[in-house]
Amino acid sequence: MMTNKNYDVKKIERSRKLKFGSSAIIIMISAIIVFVMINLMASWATFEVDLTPEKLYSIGDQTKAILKEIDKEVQIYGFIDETRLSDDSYHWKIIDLLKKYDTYDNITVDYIEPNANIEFINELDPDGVLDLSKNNYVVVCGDYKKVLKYFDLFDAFASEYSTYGVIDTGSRAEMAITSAINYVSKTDRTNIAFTTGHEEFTSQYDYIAFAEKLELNGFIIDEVNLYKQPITDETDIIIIANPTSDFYQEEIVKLQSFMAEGKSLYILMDSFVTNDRFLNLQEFLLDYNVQLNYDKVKEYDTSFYLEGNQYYLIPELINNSISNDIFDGFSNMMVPNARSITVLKVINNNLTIVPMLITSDKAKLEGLYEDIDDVTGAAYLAAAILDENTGSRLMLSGTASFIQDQVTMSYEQFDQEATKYVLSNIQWLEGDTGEIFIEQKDYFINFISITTKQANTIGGLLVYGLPSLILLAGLLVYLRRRHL
Amino acid sequence: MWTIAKREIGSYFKSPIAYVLIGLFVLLISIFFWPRLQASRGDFITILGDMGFFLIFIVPILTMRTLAEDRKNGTEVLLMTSPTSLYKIVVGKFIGAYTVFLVTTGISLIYPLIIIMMGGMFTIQLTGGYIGFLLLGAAFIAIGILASAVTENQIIAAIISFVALIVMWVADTLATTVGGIVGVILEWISLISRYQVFTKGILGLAEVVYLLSFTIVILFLTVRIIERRRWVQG
Repeated sequence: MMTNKNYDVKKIERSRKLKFGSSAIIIMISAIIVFVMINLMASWATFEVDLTPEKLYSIGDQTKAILKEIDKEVQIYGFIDETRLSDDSYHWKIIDLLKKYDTYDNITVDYIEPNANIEFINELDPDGVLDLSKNNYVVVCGDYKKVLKYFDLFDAFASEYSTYGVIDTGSRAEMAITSAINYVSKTDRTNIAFTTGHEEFTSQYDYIAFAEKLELNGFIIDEVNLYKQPITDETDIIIIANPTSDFYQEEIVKLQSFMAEGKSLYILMDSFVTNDRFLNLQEFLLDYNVQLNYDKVKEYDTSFYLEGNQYYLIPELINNSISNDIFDGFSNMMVPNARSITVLKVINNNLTIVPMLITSDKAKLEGLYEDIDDVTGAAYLAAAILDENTGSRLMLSGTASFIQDQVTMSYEQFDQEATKYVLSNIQWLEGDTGEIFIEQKDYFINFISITTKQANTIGGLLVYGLPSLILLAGLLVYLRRRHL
Repeated sequence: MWTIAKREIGSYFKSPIAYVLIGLFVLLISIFFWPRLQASRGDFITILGDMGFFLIFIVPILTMRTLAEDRKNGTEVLLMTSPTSLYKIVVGKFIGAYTVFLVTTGISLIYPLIIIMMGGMFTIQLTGGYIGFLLLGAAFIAIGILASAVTENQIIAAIISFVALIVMWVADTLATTVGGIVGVILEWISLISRYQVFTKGILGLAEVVYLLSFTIVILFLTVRIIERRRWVQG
């Protein structure tokens, strides 16, 4: 009888355990499911308020107006794995900002790990000149692409005190992204005309690959014979590449009028002997405080020339505001048969002259003509000149064949760097922000006025005084209540 | 519920525990704040970010006795059989512990006040950071109370909640190491990554909802665990 009673009690207990145990588990699981559902809905709402003083994660009115008017599909790719980014990664500033762009119908943002998607990268950049490597971003619209790198996105300077080697002082992300979107989606594109009539290098014979890359980057390529034709209003940049004879006075006048309109000129010229010197062209260059020298640069520093040929130079890229973009990921560029250029010491406050390439101080500048002496020492091979008065830009290069098809095919290993260098120069000639001006967002620093003595007094009080006071209160409470 | 909350608050401030925890917390903030003062920098938001980490050590000690003590002393039975519902008991206990946390947070406002007195600014970003800190504190305390509900040993309760909070912290770091879909899930779960959204200057609905609902769900689970034990144990 007793056994049966015990058995019944156990049976009841077991069924109660089972009943309440299982129902409790079901309720708990249901609660977790509801929790997940609510949070998924909340994350879809994407309601966020940017509380930063600099409005780091917000887009301004100008950006909103541009994005509203875009009628083409624009794709932004970030070459990162956002699931592996550390919390302090600078990419978050970009990702959080890009979320705002992504809310517009025609803008799509995706993140791609470049090393795991090589085929896709090759499809996007078959020539490998866009530098679609890790940590970069690219804005794509149809066939047009614009790459954004670290220095495009942040105002930063090199620092030995920083873990990453650079210290950011502000964000240019909105400026860079909006400009890039505007650039790839715009209908009116920059027109580049190669001059003809002086047996120059042209886009149809000598610069075929380079011209293709220019077209890929959204430029329209044309040719102009300055002697026979007028320069059209549509022309934004003229390229003079390796002319073998001087320009006529009429041509120079046309160039001067062209530059007076605030447009741009790129002169590239190798070192070679011609019957006549370029007197008219040199006179034109005098207005920009630069001259092409009648010499040929021979390097004697082994790290500055290609093994076996001292005229095939590997110059140093000078760090400046224009070359900053090229520096990121830049290795070496090979420059064959170059001449030096001179920056004249004439005071002209309207001109900003920035040297771009320099030889080693062991270089020898061999005179091309008998009346020109050899000189030894470092020499500039290229310079960028901005005329503040007219807004015109001139890029003078003592080398032209480094992007010639024949050279780039023979020395394929240097092709990519050469293209990168010239594209950046042309971008500068174009005026890379175009008509968009979005202010850089300088990081807010909450400075306080405090002397060292005050800082140490307050700091000492906070570290020693305040915690001791609180602990003392605790001790008093303990002493008063210990016998209760 | 308020009676229980009052009793809890009283028991915290009538014993040295609250003072020791607040003192320790203030000491940690001050250690981080002093170098900023010396550098004439008033960016307290970065210290507020670190304060989230300090909570991992403070909260387990703060919450370890909430339910475990009642169970050990046998007063749990009295509570269970009282007319007060189990929800009110758990929420009352939560309010008690959270009040100590609020007092601590209140004291931490001394630092931004010093910054303002020295010519610095109290930014809206800092306000957002404090909102995040209050929500993170609530979620951490809920975890501590849950840990206290599963054992009668206070030390074990503290260890459980400490481990749980550390896991929450590591989940964030682990997410970036693992990457992929697992990384996304870990990142989604992580309380720390949600909190960091506030400290970097974004007040997001998703983060507010997550931290609030997380606290509610954990408190709900605490109630269910106690309820289950009551029925299962008889």
